Amino acid sequence: MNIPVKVETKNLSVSFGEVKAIKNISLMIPANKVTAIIGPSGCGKSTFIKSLNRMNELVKKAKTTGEVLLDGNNIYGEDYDVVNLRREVGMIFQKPNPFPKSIYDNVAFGPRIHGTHKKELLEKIVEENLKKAVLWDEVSDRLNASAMDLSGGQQQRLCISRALAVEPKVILMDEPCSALDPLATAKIESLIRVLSADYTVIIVTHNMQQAFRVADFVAFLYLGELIEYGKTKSMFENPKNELTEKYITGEFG
Amino acid sequence: MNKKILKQRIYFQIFRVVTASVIIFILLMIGIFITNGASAINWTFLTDKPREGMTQGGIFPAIMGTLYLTLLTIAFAFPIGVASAIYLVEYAGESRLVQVINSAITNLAGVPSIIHGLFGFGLFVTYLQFGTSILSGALTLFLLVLPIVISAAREALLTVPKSFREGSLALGATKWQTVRENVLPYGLPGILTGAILALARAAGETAPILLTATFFFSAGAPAVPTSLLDGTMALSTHIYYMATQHPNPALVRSLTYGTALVLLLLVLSLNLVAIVIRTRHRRRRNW
Amino acid sequence: MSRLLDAGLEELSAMLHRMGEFTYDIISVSIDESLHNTNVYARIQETSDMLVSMADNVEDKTFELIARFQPVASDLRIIKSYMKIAYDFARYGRYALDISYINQRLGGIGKCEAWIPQYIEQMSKKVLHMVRISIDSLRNHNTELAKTVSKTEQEVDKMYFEFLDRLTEKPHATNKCVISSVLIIRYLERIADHATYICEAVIYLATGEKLTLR
Repeated sequence: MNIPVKVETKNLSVSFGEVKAIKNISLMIPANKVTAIIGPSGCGKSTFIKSLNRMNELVKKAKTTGEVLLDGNNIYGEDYDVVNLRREVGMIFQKPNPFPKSIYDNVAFGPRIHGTHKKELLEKIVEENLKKAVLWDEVSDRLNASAMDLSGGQQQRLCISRALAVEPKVILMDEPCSALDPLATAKIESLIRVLSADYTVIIVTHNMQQAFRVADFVAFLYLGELIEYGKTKSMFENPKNELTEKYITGEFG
Repeated sequence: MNKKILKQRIYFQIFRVVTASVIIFILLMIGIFITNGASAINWTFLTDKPREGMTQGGIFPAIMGTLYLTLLTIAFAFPIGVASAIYLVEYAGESRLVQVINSAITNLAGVPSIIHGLFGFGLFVTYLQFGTSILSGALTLFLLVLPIVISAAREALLTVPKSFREGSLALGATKWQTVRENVLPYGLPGILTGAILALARAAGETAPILLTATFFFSAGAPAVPTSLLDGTMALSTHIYYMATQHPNPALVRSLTYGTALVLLLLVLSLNLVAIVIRTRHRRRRNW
Repeated sequence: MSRLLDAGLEELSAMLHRMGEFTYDIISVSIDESLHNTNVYARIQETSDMLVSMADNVEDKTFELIARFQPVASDLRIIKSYMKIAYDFARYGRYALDISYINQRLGGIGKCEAWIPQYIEQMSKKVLHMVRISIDSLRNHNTELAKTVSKTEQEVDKMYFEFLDRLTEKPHATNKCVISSVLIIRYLERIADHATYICEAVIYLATGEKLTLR
């Protein structure tokens, strides 16, 4: 690949006790592009994306082998700063999970945790990131309202601005639209395209059409293995692997 | 009429009667204490010390004793209990050892209070030579109420959704930052409720402090304790002494019932506070 | 497991098959008309118009399937190719009509110097063969058969240029014959081109490769 690589996995395998969730995945994810991970339920896509910011470690009995390189450094290496990793690699979850605090406090949460306390600076950060997530216009007059009063789509955009506020390099999204209605989904999808100019976006989705709409590269996982990976257009026009063809034309999954 | 509906009506009537009888029982109990004890309650009763061999005067020392004991107990139990709960829920994982610890805590809650008392007597009063004192009493009560505090705190923490923790960690917060900013604040009402219930329990216990902290009445000792190593009177034990050790129980019946009424009111109001906190929290909770 | 899309694809396939058979028929008839000076213009016109409207229907159906089902991979290539092929079939019809029109205007080539109708008959046999290949390879998505069109395509090309050479060398033919035969042979050559396009589309739909068979 002649585009700069942001994240690379080398022989990445993750197992939970006896169960092997992902087996030997080696993948190069390009910088400042949108890469989608698709596959039927249970193929390991959630596990894969969670291993990119070591969130898998929150699950008991999770065992990871292989390497994940962020800008060339193995995030599973000894002495790697996990806490800082999660700053650089942000995550948006399937079900929007705003904190039951005000909209302002949600976005300010990250910066505060990392030591920013000056009011003017925080206000600037909150406004900037709410604008980046295309939420500012809808909430600028009620920043102190509870985040729980927002609609599902707004909550998800709030989670996105919250993640952006800590200045990540990579944004992971685990089926970010599956709990949202089509209009909210469309807004998030166009936001994803805009974000990819400044961040590397990796999105897991079970909706192939979504993957084809937003992604530059698509990886197809099946039963924990990487089956095919390539540019979106070649994936949906002429997949090389028969399994890929069967999945995307809807013969199974 | 339809047989099924008739059956249902009969059952519901039975349930109503049973529920009513419980409430009636409670009202009866309160009623008995009020009728027999209300006459004894006046300002002197609450602020004076006992006189004329407990046949006159008040229960002020007992009130103070109960207050000191319960506050000291909570001073030990609250921080240790909450810290343990935080450790168990947020840090400890789910290994076999942790499961054993959790069941040990539950079992500790089931130990009869007299046994707590005997243990306290053996360890604090005798072995550590604290003697019959507030310190021994509070430490004994501490062991008794600790499981309550830990269980309530655990429940409160477990109620906080996992997604809050995940969201916080995913932003690069450490575990402690996550607990401090995103878990504890939301679990606090539940923790407080547990603490208050523990307070109420400590205030009402008799057997443990009987063996470790209290005396009936001693002419020489100060009635209201001035140091941790002083023994004390307490409401619950005072009732016991007045009803069984007094030379003339019949004479002091209204005083006894009066003491019981005070203790009852104290415990009931503590429980009420706990319920109010719990209800307000549930109503205001938006997650 | 049959998907919703499959019914749509079958329908398209059936439409194209019908179109194919019409085109073979219409081209043979128009050549025949040139060689034997008959008049079947009306019939050819009717069929040609029908082919144009069938191509429109195929286009409509294609877009309907795309809007509804967002097809991908082989489904997408099939639909893309079917639309192109329908257009090519409609072109077959148009060229047949053009040949017939020339026949009506200038009287056909049956009465010209013997070598001219003979040549054209020979070339038309090859061209019809190519048309046959295009229709048959489409029916079964038969890429091997589609590739064989290449050989005949080269022969037809050669014959086309040779004819032009011979015509310039032999000035005995009448104006009418010269003009008719040149136009007819030109239309035949174009029909051959479209047959090749159809075969290339068949290969693309089956394998995703964009080959040139010319």
